Amino acid sequence: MKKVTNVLISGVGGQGVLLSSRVIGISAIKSGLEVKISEIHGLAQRGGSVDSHVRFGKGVHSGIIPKCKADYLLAFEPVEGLRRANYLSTDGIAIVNEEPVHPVSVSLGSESYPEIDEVLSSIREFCSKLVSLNATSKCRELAEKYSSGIIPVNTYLLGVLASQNFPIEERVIRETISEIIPEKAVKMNLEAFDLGVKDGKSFSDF
Amino acid sequence: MSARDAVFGEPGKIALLLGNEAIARGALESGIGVATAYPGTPSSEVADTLSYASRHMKLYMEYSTNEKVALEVAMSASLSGIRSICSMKHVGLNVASDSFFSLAYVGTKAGIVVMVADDPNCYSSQNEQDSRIYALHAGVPCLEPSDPQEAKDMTIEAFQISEKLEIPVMLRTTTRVSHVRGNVLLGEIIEREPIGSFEKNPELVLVPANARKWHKVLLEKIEEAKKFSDRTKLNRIEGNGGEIGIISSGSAYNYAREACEIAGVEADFLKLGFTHPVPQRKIKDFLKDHEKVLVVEEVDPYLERATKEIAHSFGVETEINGKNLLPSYGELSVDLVVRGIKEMTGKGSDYILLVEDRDRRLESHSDKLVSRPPTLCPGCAHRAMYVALKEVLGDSAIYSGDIGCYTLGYLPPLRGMDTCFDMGASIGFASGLSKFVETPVVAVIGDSTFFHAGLPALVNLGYNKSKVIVVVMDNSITAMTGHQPDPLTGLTGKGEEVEPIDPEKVAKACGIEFVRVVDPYDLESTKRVLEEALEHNGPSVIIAKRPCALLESRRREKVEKYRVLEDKCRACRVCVIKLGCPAITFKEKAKIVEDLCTGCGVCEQICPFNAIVRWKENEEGD
Repeated sequence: MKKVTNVLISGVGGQGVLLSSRVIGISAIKSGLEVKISEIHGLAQRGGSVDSHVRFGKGVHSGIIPKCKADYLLAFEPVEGLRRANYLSTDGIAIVNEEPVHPVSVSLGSESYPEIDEVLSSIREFCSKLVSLNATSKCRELAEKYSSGIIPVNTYLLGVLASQNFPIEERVIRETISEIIPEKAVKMNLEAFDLGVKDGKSFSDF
Repeated sequence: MSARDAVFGEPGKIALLLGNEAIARGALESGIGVATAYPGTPSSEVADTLSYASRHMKLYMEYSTNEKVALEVAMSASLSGIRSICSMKHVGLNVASDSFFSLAYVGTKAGIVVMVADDPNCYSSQNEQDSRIYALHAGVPCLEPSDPQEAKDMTIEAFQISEKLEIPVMLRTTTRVSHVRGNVLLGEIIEREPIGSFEKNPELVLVPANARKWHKVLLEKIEEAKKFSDRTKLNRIEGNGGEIGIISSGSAYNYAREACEIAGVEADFLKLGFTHPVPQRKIKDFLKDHEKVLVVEEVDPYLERATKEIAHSFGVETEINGKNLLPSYGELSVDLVVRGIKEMTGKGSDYILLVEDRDRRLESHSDKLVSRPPTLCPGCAHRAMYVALKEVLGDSAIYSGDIGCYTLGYLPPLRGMDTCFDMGASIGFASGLSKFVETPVVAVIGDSTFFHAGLPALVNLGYNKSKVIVVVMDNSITAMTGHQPDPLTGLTGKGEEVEPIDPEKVAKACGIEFVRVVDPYDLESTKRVLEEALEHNGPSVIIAKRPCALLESRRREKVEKYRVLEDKCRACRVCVIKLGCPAITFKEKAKIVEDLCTGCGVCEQICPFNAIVRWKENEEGD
């Protein structure tokens, strides 16, 4: 196993970026590893770009991933993925949710949201593998099935992450999810995680 | 959720704690009886964790009106023999500085730790000031942890130092210590009843004769602290025989360690955890052992100045680098430190070339990187109040603003704020400005800020009869920092219900005759009151009362949402342009995002064509 594994999670405030990073962090501790996670709180959280740097292994120094050193980029939103693409290592893997979240500037007409395909091909320039899926639409079905107001995109994406040669066992991540997610939502989130693992494994880049 | 781990985690276990939670845990393991704070990013979770703890144990906890009061309350506990911690953000120490200096003079009986969190890069602040300068200025020892485990350990050590030297101790963090999560080994919590005894001492009256004595006492304590600084393991040398020496503290130390690994440089480290006073002998010896030294620290060259002073006074000729190779603003990062090391050693250029290539490549895609600044939440009543203000007073009025969620109203399309300087400045600045300009002047301030520093300014405004419309954005909570209670909430830090303080009565007592309470969701009535205030010949206070929409959306089970009737929408975009609500999108016609709509109904009042309507129960779906 690598000395230190770096996962950069990026998204929009309110999408569950912080919860996902905690799931990885606790799973890493359960696996006997050192962890450091950098979070953004306060002003920046209100609907703005949010990222969380998750690092685990042996001898983790900086709380922030050095540029070009992220093994995984887990993007909850395409543009937010591209915004942090320069953190990806050249042999890194980018996992991107294809569902855009339009900022107010786009509704106002002062900026226009780029084509998703262009965003994805730009991200591809920074990594060795791009796994892109529409996590939101897949999870919306799950949310309807469980009549939940919350769409479990974060646990689904964790499942995709776990399927990509991830150094922490799926079993440990599942266990963490069932421990830290409110009881009534555990079943839906585990199903989302399993679906993410399945989709991640069968994903083909070509 | 992780506050629970910090409070109830079993001794001997490893928990994943935020730096701030680790500090709270360290304080609990030190047997504190009292915790006080005024919330402020990046310090808030220290207080939030202790507030949570105080609901389950004897600990007394309060969110005080402001940092100065918080420090005075903590000081009263300490002088009564009860260990206390007071937490705040860097700019909060400006507010508390008067008490801080007096506290340094009179010292303590039981340990007192002043936790101050700095915010390099201004993620949530109006400046980047370096609190270590305050430690130097007031003569208070300063500790700087680098990660969550150290944050907990140093908190415990800070209490011991405070009692040994009978002096307050500053625990200084930065965002990347306070908001980094990491492994923390938990120890035993000591529960302490907050009951002490205050011994009278005439010297606690800081009249000049006593103050002079205390100043001498303080200087003696600093001498003791200097010896301790050279003795303590908090200041340690790591490695020997390396090609360069690095002096560093806090999160900067972590970047420097990693930068050396990446650049392939063998460096020795002088890792400083006790940074005021600095360890003179250790720094001198470290300089003598190295031809070249790099001081790695964020923002101000505090350690660099001290190092150069020591080199000068001992005649050491070592080359000392610091801010000549590293920036004096913003946050440091590993690649910035690699750049500095590269200048000294010539190593690390492969990595820098890669980073530069990647940055350039990203820059070439900048047309796709739509900006995403933070915005007011859907249904936020501040948005409605700004709309009413703009409709009545227009763009020519001057909007003197303040610090809180409502500061986001300065962004387009609302553009409801022309100035924002510091806590309470909205009223103080407006109170002056209205005397010197002929345009209408409005002061916009949130409820927590109103009590924090707005009150003295309001007295000034009321007494001097400045013609200002003061708008109190009352959501009855300190929302931006994570919903801590304030004097309008009706809850204490311990979670006990109390009678809220009535801002209407307060305003009247400050000599304001025109005081009204409005519901900002009701645009017409709000606008009418604003028109009356504009006509009124004298100062006015309008309290815009509505609970925080974010909190309400968590509380409420079912919300009556709104939707756009497509055939009625004429695509005029008024709803989008006037409100900038994240729940309204536009593509040929306006559309309301159902997941985001909170049912505030302000857009319905704005639409000129009655195209926005409330969902009816019998009309599920489009």
